[in-house]
Amino acid sequence: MSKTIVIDPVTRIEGHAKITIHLDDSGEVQNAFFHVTQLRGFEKFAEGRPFAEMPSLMSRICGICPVSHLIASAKACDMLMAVQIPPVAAQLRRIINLAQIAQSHALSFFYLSSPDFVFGMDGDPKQRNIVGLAQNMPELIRDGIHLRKTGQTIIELLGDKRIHPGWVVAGGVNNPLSKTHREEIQAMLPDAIAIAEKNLQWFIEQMPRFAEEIAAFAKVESMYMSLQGKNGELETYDGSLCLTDSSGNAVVSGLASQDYGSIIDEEITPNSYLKSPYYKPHGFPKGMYRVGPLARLHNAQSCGTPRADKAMTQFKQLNPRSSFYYHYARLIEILYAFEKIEQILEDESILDDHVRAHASPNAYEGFGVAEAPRGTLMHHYKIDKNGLITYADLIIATGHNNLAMNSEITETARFFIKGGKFTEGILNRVEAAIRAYDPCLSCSTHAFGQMPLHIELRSSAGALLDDVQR
Amino acid sequence: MLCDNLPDTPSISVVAQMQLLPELVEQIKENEGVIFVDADVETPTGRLNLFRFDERDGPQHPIKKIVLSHQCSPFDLIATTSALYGVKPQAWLLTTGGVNFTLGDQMSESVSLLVKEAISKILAITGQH
Repeated sequence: MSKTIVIDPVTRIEGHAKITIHLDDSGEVQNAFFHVTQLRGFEKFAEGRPFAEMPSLMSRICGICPVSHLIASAKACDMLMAVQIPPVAAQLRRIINLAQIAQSHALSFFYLSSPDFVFGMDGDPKQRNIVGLAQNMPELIRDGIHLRKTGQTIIELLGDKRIHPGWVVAGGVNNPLSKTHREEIQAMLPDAIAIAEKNLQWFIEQMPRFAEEIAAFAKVESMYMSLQGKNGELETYDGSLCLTDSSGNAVVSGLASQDYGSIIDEEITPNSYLKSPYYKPHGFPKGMYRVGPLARLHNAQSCGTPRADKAMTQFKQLNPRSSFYYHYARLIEILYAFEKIEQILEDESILDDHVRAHASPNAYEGFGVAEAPRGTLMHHYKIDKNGLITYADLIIATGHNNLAMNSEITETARFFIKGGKFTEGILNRVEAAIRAYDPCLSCSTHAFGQMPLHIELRSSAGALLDDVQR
Repeated sequence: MLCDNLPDTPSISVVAQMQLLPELVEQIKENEGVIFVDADVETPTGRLNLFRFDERDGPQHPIKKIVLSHQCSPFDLIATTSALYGVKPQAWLLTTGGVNFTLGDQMSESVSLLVKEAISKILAITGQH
């Protein structure tokens, strides 16, 4: 009799989700599904609101990456006003987005995933958590806290608040950067860069212990999508869209980000509130691609900062198919983010006080695309002649990764579950496959929610045979 | 409102937050004590409730339940500070019964009336009276 395994809730992710693993009569994995069981609905209740409210309204989608939504939303509003924002405003937005990426990556790596790296996938679950880490390797958590604090403090110094700052607005930013705040940020960066480098080295030393997981997480073949700079460099705020295959060959390059609709469509599946975007020319579900730090580093030819470039050279020698390397890419991006902020702040023009363009709406449709911590974030609005929103569509990084995450857990479950037999450590590996993507379900379903996952084991007849609740 | 009415003294740092963030532990570890002030749904309307963390509720107790994500409970912060830095600041939770939790930037009248009393309690704890 076939079976289904259910992991519900999935732990150490941001939001509520469930995994079901379906086994055939011989106990081999037939299929696995990642179900997002929460709904947000921001696209709908934005309708009828004035467009200028969108940045602050849409940033409420998420308490972890509100800045990313601010940026994408403000960019869409810039387009509705048909303005080019002052260059210094773009640079200031770039800094706050980099600080957001660094703090979010620190949360994912140090708080949520590092228990697996310290105690191993089969480690005692009573220890394999943040408390076990605090008791056994407190320095790792102290470093994580410090890196996150650095990112959050930069956000606060620029935007006046750590969560939901209202500083990024349609047309630019609200206030220029003061000399005092620039100096405060500059003073924090050398320490953050040193801590990021130290932990990157530590993780590289741990990777040989995870050869089996690296192999198991490399069964999925997909394309990779990200923004890219003019010279092929890593880009998080601007640039054009780029899609490559797993060998690094360009599938799409230099596509103006607002034209993403020409290559991406979305499918709704019955088992999840999370939409499934796909690359149109390949159809659904073959048009699967990944976004986020792994995709960005896979696509970029360089980072443009010395330490991150050095780390990237080593990273590029690895098989990009393995989602395990998302963690590696995350650490490189933390390093990059702080280095890049340091570079930008060296330019005296960053203190320029012309930071906002003012205009009424001059276009009925606007697109805003930026790189959020988890990948490419797209906001698309339409307005009426009074500037009121008539349509909003958001494509979130976790959504872009939905098809890949479903394939990932299927392949990971097939790799580890044999003859219907599984252990807690095996189920943790299935969860870890999802955690590698660092999904943010609050963002992607437009949820209040904590972090719990639920794994169900079901027979071929659909009967529930096992049920693991965290 | 409470922050604005607390005296600015070198011995008291006032930190206003929309939610408790894990990196606050770096600040907490530098202090002898911490008082968390918030409105909640359990304290009866028009009342203040002062709860002092002790060993049973604090670092030694259900440490395995700490959740360190993008937001934490007061207990998470105190327990994490102890586990990571080996310091155990005294901690209190001062709550008032919330009345209206919908959108707005004003406190209800019943909560506003308690601000003065809350400040008195904070000053008593910190020895400023």
